[in-house]
Amino acid sequence: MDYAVYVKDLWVSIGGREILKGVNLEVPRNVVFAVMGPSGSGKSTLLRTLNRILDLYEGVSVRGRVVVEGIDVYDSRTDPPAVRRLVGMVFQMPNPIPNLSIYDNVALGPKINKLVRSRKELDELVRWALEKAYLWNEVEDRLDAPASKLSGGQQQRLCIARALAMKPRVLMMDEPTSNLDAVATAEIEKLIIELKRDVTVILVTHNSFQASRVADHVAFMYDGQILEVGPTGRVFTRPAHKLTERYITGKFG
Amino acid sequence: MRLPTSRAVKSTALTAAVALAFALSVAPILHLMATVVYRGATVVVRNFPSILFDIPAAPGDHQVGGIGPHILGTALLTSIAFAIGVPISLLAAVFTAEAIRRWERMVGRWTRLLVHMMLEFPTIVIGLAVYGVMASITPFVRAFVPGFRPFSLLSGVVALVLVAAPYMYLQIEDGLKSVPQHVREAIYSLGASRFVASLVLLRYLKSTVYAALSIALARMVSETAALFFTAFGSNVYPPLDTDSLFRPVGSLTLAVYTFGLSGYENWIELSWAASFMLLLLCLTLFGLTKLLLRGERRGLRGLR
Repeated sequence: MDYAVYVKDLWVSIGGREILKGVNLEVPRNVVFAVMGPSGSGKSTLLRTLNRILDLYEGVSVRGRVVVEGIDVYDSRTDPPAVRRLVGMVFQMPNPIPNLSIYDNVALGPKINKLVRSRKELDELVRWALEKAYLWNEVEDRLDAPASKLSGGQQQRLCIARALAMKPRVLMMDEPTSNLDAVATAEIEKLIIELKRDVTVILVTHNSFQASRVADHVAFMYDGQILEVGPTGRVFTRPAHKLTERYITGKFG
Repeated sequence: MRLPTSRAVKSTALTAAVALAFALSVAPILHLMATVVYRGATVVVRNFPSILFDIPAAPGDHQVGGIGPHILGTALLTSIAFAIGVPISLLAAVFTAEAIRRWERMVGRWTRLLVHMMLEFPTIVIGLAVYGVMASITPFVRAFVPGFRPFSLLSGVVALVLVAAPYMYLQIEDGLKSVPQHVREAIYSLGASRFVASLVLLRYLKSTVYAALSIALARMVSETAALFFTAFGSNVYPPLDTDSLFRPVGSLTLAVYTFGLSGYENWIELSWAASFMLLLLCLTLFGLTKLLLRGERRGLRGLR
């Protein structure tokens, strides 16, 4: 079972409402894997179960098996923070921590998880992460400025840098461009494609064109179930499911 | 010259009315403060600095003596109660606001309900309840601590914690609950344990925490009713020994009350002096908080 992420018969309900209804998923390593589907289909919930950030919500019940990089995520012996260290997450809303500086936002993860031993090492890691996210050139002279002074696209790249600084094995992105303009979106998409050399990227999007532009594999999700999954080229040229076809041709969603 | 329009007249009249209403509502406060400062400061200045250290003179004496034991008592009561109350309320707030498991969320709901009820209790009832508990455990505790008494510094501290901790808890808990979910998710998604996440969140809420702590401190300093049956009041310095915690102590608020009601000229002067000291303390606290918060706001100004 050599997958970055493996999900077997996953059922999730929140406040008594079934959100995921028997999801199966196998994500190979070092690919961009897009999960697309209309809003309300359970994409974000699926993502939030993979690193147990769903624990923060009230009234959640999870059945089924989730394995991320060999760790059984919902095993009672598993420590949720340990899973979250392996799985970076980028959110729909760019969410730098507003009272921290640009530098501190990136440094926070390595600091609280003691990934570095010296200030110099931390400086290097922060620089590395910001360079990876193509943000370094824009912020190197104002690392101490509050993160909230950056533009929306810069804030989102800062969040990507913050996730990368943890050296995660899997990077989950929940509609990372839905609050950004076309130029910023193009930058982030370019970045996503480059990132797969280092990490497995799971991208949730309601935009099927974005999925076709950046993903190696796509899954189509509808009403809490994955209706179809396969290589991007095949799904977009010969969709097996009627709903997939209607979705990717823009007939609904 | 043009005559003013009716709109201009109306505007001027209303502005004047608002100004008058403001003056009327502020006047009593200013009058109160001015009286306390005038009557209290004259006593303090005339007997400076001995009034800060001496014990009160005999009632009816031509000298006033001092309110030293009461200043010391307020300092002891407040600082010990603050040192105990702050960590308790902080930990409780973090525990209930960052609850994850079902039983933790349940405990959180009950805690909030209980704390809301405690806030509604008149503080004299809290004092009486503490006295009742202390008095009923006295025979048992005396077997181990012979000097134990229900009227004591310890009881006063317990009462003050019960009065002020609910405030701190609710303020900080509300602050934590109001943190946007996306900020909380950002912190937790970095692999932060609940403890570390709370530290980051509390730092994010620094101004809320400062405000909560200083309001609680001011409440402790100015609390009176809860101390009647607990700290009880005393006009002498307690001897410093192992039983110091179990002796009655005075406080500035108790001094204001008892000296003010006494009917002796020199004690009434002490009452004014104690009022003045209280006012000074609270205004200093208020000023310090403002100063701290201003620094904070300056730091955050770049945000929007």
